Amino acid sequence: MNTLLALLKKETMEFNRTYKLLILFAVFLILAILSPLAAKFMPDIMAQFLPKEIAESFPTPSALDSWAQFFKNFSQIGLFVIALLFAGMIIHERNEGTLIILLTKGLHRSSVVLAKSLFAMLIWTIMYWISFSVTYFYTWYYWRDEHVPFLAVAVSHLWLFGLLLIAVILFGNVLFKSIYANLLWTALFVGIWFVVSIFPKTDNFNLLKLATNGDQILQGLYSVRDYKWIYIMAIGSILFIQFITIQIFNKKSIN
Amino acid sequence: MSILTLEHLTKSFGAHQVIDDISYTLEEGRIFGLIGQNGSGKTTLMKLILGLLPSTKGKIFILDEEVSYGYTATNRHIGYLPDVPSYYPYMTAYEYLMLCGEITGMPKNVRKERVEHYLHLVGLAKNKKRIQQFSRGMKQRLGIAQALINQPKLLICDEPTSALDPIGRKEILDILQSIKHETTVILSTHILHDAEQICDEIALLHNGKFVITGNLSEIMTKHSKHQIQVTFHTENQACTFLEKLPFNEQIVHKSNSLIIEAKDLTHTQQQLFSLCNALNLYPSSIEVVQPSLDEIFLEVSR
Repeated sequence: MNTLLALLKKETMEFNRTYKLLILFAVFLILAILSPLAAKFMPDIMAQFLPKEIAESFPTPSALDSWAQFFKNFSQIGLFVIALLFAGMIIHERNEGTLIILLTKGLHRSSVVLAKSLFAMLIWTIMYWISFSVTYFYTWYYWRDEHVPFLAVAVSHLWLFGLLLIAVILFGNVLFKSIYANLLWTALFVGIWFVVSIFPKTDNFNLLKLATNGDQILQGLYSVRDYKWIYIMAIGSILFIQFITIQIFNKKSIN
Repeated sequence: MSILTLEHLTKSFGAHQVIDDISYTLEEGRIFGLIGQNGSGKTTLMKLILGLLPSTKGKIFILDEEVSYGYTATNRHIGYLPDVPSYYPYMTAYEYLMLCGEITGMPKNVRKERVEHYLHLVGLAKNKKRIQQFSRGMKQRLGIAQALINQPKLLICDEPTSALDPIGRKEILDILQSIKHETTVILSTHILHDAEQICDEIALLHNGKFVITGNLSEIMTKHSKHQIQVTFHTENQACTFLEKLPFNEQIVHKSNSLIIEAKDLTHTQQQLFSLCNALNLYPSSIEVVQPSLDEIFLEVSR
């Protein structure tokens, strides 16, 4: 437990002093502020460049548009930034040899994986929910009278997908020695689920729905019950991937 | 008591055998020089001892406890200084040592005390810079501090002086010499002068085997050849003397000096003095020279 805390402190110091924390916070904050702003003002901006008849056909922006923009921003740019920041978490330490001294001090390899995973998931959780709060405030500010149903469910889905993606990225960290290979691996994981989603029969099991169906949940097209198997699969996958990540890392020779 | 025991240790990378059936026992309280050319397998041997690499065959014991690959409890007795120690560049030396102490499970008050003590020992006590601004010498000194922080019974140093200037080298060797009474030291090096200066015992690793092992003075005696160096005032005198030398021993001519290998030291000395008298040539010095560890190393490596 003490070791885990020591490593978490070390990770926090690293993220802080190498400005990764600042970059992540800035990007997430911009995305969070932009989501309601884009929804509110994009029709006006577009109207400046388009013929009047087309501009007048735009629907009046609503709180739903703001949240649709939020899901689009965070499921694409947000998760991409997360992948970029965490793709080299263990790879970098293996390549630089910074773990050697700590391992010879009695550090368990499993603690390394657990601390890195826990830290990445915590950072994602904190940053994501701060961003959600910012978007929530601006959306409330611009559309005070509008109630958005099932918001907590839809937002939690993307958060859960983020946790799953982090587990996949950490797994790639012990599989590969190159950050690019890990990014490719992460892209492949997402790509496979895109291919799977072509088949309607997989609808109840498609993990990608956690990241892509946020606005449809808000519109009431899906309910929590539709996601029962996806929740089980997502949580099961996170735990299983963590387990095999530790098993593989335990067998890797450290040079 | 033996601190380290190797039993028929073998390590191969594919078809390439780096460590070939080595058995050896190292007693406590020694500075043990592990000598070998670059690529001879010194680092591999150390990583096997630390459980960072799996052995192909054989066993390693630290204080009679077997080393296992992956996580090995025997590392609680060991401090390790890699050849190129890698630290977290954004930390200060104090922060890094505190992290090392925390990982070894020291209580906070003990940790603080030890970190301050070892920073003082290696001359980094007042340094508040981040490690990214450290020179190589400072990084090596920090490496020794981190290796000693858990007060190990065995300190393994992998070529700690190879990238340092003479002052940096002396600082590191002095530190190692000063801790000899508390910790057994394994010093891997290809700088034989360093080994000569501080080691009590050496092993020469060549083609995966320890080709020479033992006490340094015994090795020097066993492998030494009697050599007499005769130095004249001029090179001409040396040439004249060389032409008249009556024996077939190996002779090396260097400017105004001759180094003569003697099978029988006393007899050769007598012959040299007689020849000097006969030729009326009087050298500026005649001395018996000991071969250096470098020469023994080269001889054995051939």
